[in-house]
Amino acid sequence: MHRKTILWIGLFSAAVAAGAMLRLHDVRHRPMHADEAVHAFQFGGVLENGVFRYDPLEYHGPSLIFFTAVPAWIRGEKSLDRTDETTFRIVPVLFGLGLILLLPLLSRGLGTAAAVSAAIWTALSAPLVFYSRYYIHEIPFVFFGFCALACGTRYLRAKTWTWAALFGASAGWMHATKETCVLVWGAAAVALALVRFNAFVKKDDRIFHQEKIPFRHMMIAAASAAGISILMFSSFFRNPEGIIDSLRAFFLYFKRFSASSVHDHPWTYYMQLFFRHDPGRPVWTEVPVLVFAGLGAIGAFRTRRQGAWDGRLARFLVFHTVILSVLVSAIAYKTPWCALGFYHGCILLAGLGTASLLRWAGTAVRKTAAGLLLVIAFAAVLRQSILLNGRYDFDPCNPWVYAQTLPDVFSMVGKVETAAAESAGPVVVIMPGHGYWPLPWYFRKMKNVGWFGGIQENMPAASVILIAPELEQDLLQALHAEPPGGREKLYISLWKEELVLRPGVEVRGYQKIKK
Amino acid sequence: MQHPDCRIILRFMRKQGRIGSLLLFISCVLPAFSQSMKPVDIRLPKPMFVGTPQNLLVHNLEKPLGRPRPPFLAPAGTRNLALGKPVTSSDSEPVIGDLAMVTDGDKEASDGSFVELGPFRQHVTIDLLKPSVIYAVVVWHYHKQPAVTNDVVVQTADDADFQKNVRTLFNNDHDNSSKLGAGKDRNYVETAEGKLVDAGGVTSRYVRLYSRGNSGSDVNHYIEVDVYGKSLP
Repeated sequence: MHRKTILWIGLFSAAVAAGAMLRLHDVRHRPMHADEAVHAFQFGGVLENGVFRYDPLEYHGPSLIFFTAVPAWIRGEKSLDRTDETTFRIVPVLFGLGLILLLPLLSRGLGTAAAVSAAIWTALSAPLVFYSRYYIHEIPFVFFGFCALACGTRYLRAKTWTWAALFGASAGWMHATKETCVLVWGAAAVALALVRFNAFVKKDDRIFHQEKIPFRHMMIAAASAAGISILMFSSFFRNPEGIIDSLRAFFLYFKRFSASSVHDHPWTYYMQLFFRHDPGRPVWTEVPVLVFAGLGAIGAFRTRRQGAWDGRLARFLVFHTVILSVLVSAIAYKTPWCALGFYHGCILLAGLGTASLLRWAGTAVRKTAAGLLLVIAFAAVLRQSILLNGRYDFDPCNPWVYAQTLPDVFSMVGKVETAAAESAGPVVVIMPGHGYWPLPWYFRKMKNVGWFGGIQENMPAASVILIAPELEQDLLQALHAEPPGGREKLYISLWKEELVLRPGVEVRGYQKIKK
Repeated sequence: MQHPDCRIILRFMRKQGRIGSLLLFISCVLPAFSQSMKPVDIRLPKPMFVGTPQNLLVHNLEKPLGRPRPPFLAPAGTRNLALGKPVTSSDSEPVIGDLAMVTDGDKEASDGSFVELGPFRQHVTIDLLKPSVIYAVVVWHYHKQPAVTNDVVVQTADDADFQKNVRTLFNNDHDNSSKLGAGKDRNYVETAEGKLVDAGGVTSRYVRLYSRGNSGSDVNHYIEVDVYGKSLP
């Protein structure tokens, strides 16, 4: 085997190993986020009823939930009580690893050096590792988007119906994962048009000959996409309304993005995520990725097709990344994980930038200097990834943390379990707007728990009450305004310290005095 | 005279004998007791699915009181001097609403009750028309959703340009990002009861409130400002 090939295989294997270690290490460490807990309960519903009922207003598509059935089946878990964090988080971990493992598919389009470099950037990137350990739809969504890109590129080279079908299936999975797929498709359509325009300006007519697609292949791709989408949203034909709801969702999401929300942020929000410094905390930055992505963008326009990479694919990546970042920044509704779509584009461009740097370096001395620079950049990214996915994985100073549950939840759960075991009465949790998540996940093995969004008249006499401070006065009124009062309804604090579910959300606990 | 039901029971007992009566007691009365000891089947509500919670990422956040704010004591005759008084602002053309809403007495968070100023540091200034002794300033920025207003600074002065006798009553701009000096007051979550700032009986004519966006957006909201005090003759 050629020495260079051995080097590439070695580096790629190292990237896969590093990516796996970073993603799998102590995957249960971070407390469950409210969204993770909601998705886990959705999966619990599917385990019990066998049907996924798609909600076109919230919680996204069914693919994440159905893929979770695989680890649950392997581990022999037949009810939610038996599952743990690993069952759920292993799903995004595997999709996150898939983002590395599928990169060889782009080795012909981007070149081996760029593909292997992109594998290293993907493996080490702090946000990609962070959300690969996070049971939400974003990493599977990015994975299927990448599959569509890779299969589409391979199709344009091979023109076989297999790649057309795989491309269609990837698009179908994207739809079955997240409604925002229309943004990615829209950005891709505009990017393709710009690539063609660029080719037209440069009088590169190869693109027009090579991209003629037989009608038969288009139908195969469309049928694959529709087949996957229908199968998923109808919950394997057990919930046909899901198909219509999946189309209604586009309009409902458009309305949702137009209305004001607690997740509205300024257009600079995603840029702020790439550079963050809170007093007394380390500086977090994605500058190394962005610098190399910038080099990749320059390389995409400077090199036409000289054996290293396909300039049209490289330019498509640049256009798509820029358009998608503008689109998601223009929408007021923002959460940090929504940055992953265009951030992954930056990662692929960083791979191209790395290859460009090595290509431009020329002499051995320059190549050594470039290699040294790369080692420093990779080391800095690795250090940040270890910190942000270890010691700081729940800390609000972590730019990728958003409304994260704090470790106080473990103290709460321990004290409530002890108190509930001592008394037979129910545990009542009262939080405004049903903001008690992820507590249902932690109390999933307790059968006698009631969940309330406010004080109600028909609330049971509880032996343990968890309540938000702003509702305490209403609770006192409900307990003591009407007879019988006295010792029958006396409660003492379960904990004296301030326990916080997530930043700004304190929970107070009370236990009924025994007679 | 015996009740007809009692007669039926006595006749049954005579007919069945002692053992039969005992068996009847065991089979009918004991289960009745045991039934009464069963736990009541209370149907507890299941957790309701909700979307992603709000990210309240605020340092130095005041702990929620958990009860209504205690009454603020001030000399008799103290009233809201700001009601209906003229308001000026660093943003003379608000995005939503108009500046008069700040002192119109409407403290609701609904649409049509608040003024929205542009992004970055903005202020509203209330002219009390006369030098007044001020005991408290209460501000409602926006309480429709839980939010924390950034860099809240409350000042009083003797002139409209805030050059003479400027006094800072409240400042939670801990990192001096609004360039008005670093403050040590704590951030707080907006509620319907507003934020009360103790003015300590300072004498001034103008009251100015600064802010720099909030935890949800970079624009500045003002629903109402009350200034409690007494006008000097």
